[in-house]
Amino acid sequence: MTTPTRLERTLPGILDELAAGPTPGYLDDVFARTARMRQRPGWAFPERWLPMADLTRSRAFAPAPPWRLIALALVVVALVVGALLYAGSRQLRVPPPFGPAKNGLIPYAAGGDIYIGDPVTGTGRLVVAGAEDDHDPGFSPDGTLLALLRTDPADCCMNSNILVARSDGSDLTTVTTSSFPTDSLVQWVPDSKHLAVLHTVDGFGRLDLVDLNGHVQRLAGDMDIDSYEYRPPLGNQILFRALVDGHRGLYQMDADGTNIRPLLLSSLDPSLDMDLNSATYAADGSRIFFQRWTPDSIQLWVMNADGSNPHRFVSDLVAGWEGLAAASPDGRWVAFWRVIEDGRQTQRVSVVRADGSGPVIQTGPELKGNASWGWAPDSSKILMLARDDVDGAHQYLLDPAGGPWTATGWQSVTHPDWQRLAP
Amino acid sequence: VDQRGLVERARGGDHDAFTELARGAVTRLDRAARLILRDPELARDAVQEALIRAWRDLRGLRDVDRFDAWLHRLTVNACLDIARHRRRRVIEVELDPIDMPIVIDMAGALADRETVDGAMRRLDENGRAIVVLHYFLGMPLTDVAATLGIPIGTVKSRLHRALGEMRVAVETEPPSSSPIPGGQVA
Repeated sequence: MTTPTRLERTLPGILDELAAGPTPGYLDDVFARTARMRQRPGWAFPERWLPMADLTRSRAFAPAPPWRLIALALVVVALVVGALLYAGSRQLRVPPPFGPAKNGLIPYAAGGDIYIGDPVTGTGRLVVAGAEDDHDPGFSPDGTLLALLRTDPADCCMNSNILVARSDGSDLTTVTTSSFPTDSLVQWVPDSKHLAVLHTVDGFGRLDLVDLNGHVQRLAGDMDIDSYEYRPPLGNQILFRALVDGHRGLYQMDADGTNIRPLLLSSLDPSLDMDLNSATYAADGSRIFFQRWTPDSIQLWVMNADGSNPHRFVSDLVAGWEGLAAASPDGRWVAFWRVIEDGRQTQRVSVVRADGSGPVIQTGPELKGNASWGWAPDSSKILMLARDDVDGAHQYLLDPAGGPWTATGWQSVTHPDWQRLAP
Repeated sequence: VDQRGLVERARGGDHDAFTELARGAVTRLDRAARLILRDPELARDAVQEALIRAWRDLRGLRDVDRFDAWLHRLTVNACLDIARHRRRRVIEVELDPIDMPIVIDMAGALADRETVDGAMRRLDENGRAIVVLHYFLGMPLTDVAATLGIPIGTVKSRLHRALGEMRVAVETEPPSSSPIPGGQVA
């Protein structure tokens, strides 16, 4: 009997064992919500009445807006904002959005509240509390503002709003006028005045720019986007991965969503999601690190920022699983993940010079579960979140040179973020 | 009351009928979602989302006899949506035992639940969805194609690739008594 036959024959039974578990007990939550929710009326499904092709071509009529009044209001607002910014800039020095900065504090969420941790003392301070479920805090690139997501439990935890406070948690205000799915990826834009929200609309990934007044601008139109990153040092371009005509590709656009151009397209089936995944810029924006899928391994590659000269980053490493590069803010190092061929095939964070030369340094504890990491603003440490089923979630401070590592004084599943301060 | 009757009543806004339908399906949906997402909490989110969408859009279901397939489709789509977003969460790696290039006797490993578990984890969520729909929920490939909204040829090629990857994993997986730590990107 051949192996394929045996595998396919035994698969249903094994899958049944793997999926075995108690009857879920969350139905009451669902019923509580659906009992309050009206069904969409039958006539509201447009395909029952009209061909969808006609619907998608139709346009809603809208009266012409009062452009003069709007322009006048914009001028007044710009003048006021400009005056406030000028006054603010005289009082507070802030770091540029990219490059080295002074280390500040580390935000994290625990028990539905937001804390700010001091990496030096190992202590955390509660800054946003309440009955709501607050999570995913992140400092603006200039270090002055703190964004977080707030989930409404009455909404079955499916949707969240974006809130922004000062860096000490004061003046907390809700930014979004309508909620986003809770699992949207929300990140600050380099200008520290907008947040980029990547979320799913009708099954397609859309990238929206939200300003601090809740105004939303869709970037890249109807492209199906699943990751993005702003280009250092100016933040005037965006690298993103999209699915176009059944193929994944790395694309670049200007920060206003125009001038979209392809950088590198994958010829592989899009279900091979690891290809062209986790793309990120070098610290100076001149190169792009990304992952390539091969039948035997996942490799870390690098290419010029215009898409030319793609090649493996560290060519003499034993083929295995590597990728997820993160460039240090000072531009000297790249931290990445790979299987270490030490006879046991362990996982640890690896660090190498930004040009890929020299020794590859392993640092931090052996990884057994999930992990994510980011650099300290001054490039002296790597902040890593490690999670596994046995030990739970811990944040660690790693030495990029391979020296001893320490655990932070708090437990949180928050992805690493570190406040940037003026040097 | 047969399922068709319950669906008809639920389409008319009968919440009790919908409750009965949901109670009958939730264990199956939860298990399928856990196989696709490999995370019980995310699976719970996916099934809740699917059931809420089912209630909201039930009147849009034209063929009440296709209720189960429609519910499976909503669940799989919710799983894939969650998996897509999960991938986007900065740099996150899923570190599971991976294979060494050591060919061993397959007879013992084939029956090993952990071996198949590891092989499933190595598939992407699209591959897992097809394997789960076909081998766990027992759907014919034509129904899998309809459920996922992709051509039958694509289903066949993806299933072939998924089984191929699983066979490679099974063939190269060391015995469960001495797993070799390794990793896979989530």
